[in-house]
Amino acid sequence: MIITQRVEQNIDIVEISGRLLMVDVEEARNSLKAIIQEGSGTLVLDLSQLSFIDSSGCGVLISALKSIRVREGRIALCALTRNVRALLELTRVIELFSVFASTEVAMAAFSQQPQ
Amino acid sequence: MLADEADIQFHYCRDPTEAIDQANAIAPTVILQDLEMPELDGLTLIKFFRANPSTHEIPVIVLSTKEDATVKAEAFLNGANDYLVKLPDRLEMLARVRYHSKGYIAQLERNEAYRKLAESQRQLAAEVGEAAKYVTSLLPGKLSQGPVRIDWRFLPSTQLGGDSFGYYWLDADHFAIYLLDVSGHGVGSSLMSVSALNVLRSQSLPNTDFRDPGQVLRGLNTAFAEELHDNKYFTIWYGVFRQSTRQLSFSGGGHPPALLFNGAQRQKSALTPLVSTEPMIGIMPDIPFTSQTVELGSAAKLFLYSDGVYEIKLASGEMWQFDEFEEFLCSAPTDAPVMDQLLGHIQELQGSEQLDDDFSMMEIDFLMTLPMNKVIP
Repeated sequence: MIITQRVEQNIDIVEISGRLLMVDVEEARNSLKAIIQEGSGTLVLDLSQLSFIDSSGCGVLISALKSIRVREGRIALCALTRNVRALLELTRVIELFSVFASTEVAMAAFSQQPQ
Repeated sequence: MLADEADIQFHYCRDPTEAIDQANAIAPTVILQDLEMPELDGLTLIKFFRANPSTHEIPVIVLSTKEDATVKAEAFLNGANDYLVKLPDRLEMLARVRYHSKGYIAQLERNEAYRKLAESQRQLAAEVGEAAKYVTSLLPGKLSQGPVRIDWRFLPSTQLGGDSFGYYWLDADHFAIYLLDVSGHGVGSSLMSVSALNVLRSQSLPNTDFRDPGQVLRGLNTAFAEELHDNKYFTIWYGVFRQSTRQLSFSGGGHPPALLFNGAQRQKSALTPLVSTEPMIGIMPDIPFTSQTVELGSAAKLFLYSDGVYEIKLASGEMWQFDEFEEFLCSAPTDAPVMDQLLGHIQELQGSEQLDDDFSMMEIDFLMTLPMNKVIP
């Protein structure tokens, strides 16, 4: 798993690539928490390069969701691959998030509704 | 040369045959030893020091008149830690004695710290073992009589896992079955799991009809939403079998689907996945958990499990897929319990007997018989 971050139009864009499994949970959770605490309050997760996620990986997304709620921010998931979508649907986690086809679509949606 | 130093207690042994006994008595932190001695070969004495348990690791500095690389090498080979040619410079010898002595004392301290750590770990493991026994003792006995027959397998990954499950007759007509999986492993997850299990066992949720799965999950979510912090939450599948109508109502919170085989044969054509329609418990308050209902045939088989039975990292590094798990259940031979076959299969897939996650699974048969023996809580 690799996490990269950039900021565009005051929106934090975080790309999680590779696989998000139990061994990655600690690192991923801490990285996202730090980004959320220090960031703009609007977080777009680009999952286009995330090939697989397991249920502990789902927990990372849920932690991020909880952290962003604490600071009354916004979060979106973008570009889900087939495997990732399957697990998020199986566990119904998908219903907790705004999901977009790409980061561009998510950013356009957030830009139109400033916080 | 050494006796005058305030920080050095110097003991002298003239007779090499008494050297070991004297070393045992004094417990020195460094040994200075002549290589040339009257009654005993110096190299042999070094070997004795090394073989003797109480001097085994004490640094030995060899003193010799021989400035010969072969002799030096042989001394080191036999267990010497340093070699000085007589007569050495006073300052240099003191420096070496202090250096080896300090190193040995540090080693003793490290060993002691390690011993204490190992002891406290042993105690901790024993306590965790006790807790694991307690968790296992809360799980219900297998049912081999009556209209609902249940067999199960439970293998926590570490000694304490986050999975637990239960079942019992709510009344003469309604039978409740549930399995829950708290995120993570270890003491925290296990305590949370036991806490949720006890709420279900004692039916202690306010204003909740335990025959209505949606109500039960709503009650649990309300009870635990405040309590579950940060990264803790649990998935649950809760079902109620009504014997008089042969209906199974259920509700799932983020839990993998229970797999129903109507007709009791494990065939793909008879398979209905009973999927969760809402996410897990403890993430968000006010989730409107709902109940769904299915009709059971004259015989029906249900598998209820946690994600640990199919989220398997293969020896190749790839992941096993949920579809493959489903396929395995449909196609496994009928001559042995399918749960044992599955366990063996995933241990083979990942190339190790130790599982990364809890393995919890129930095989439930709903028979078309009159109630004979019922489990009353």
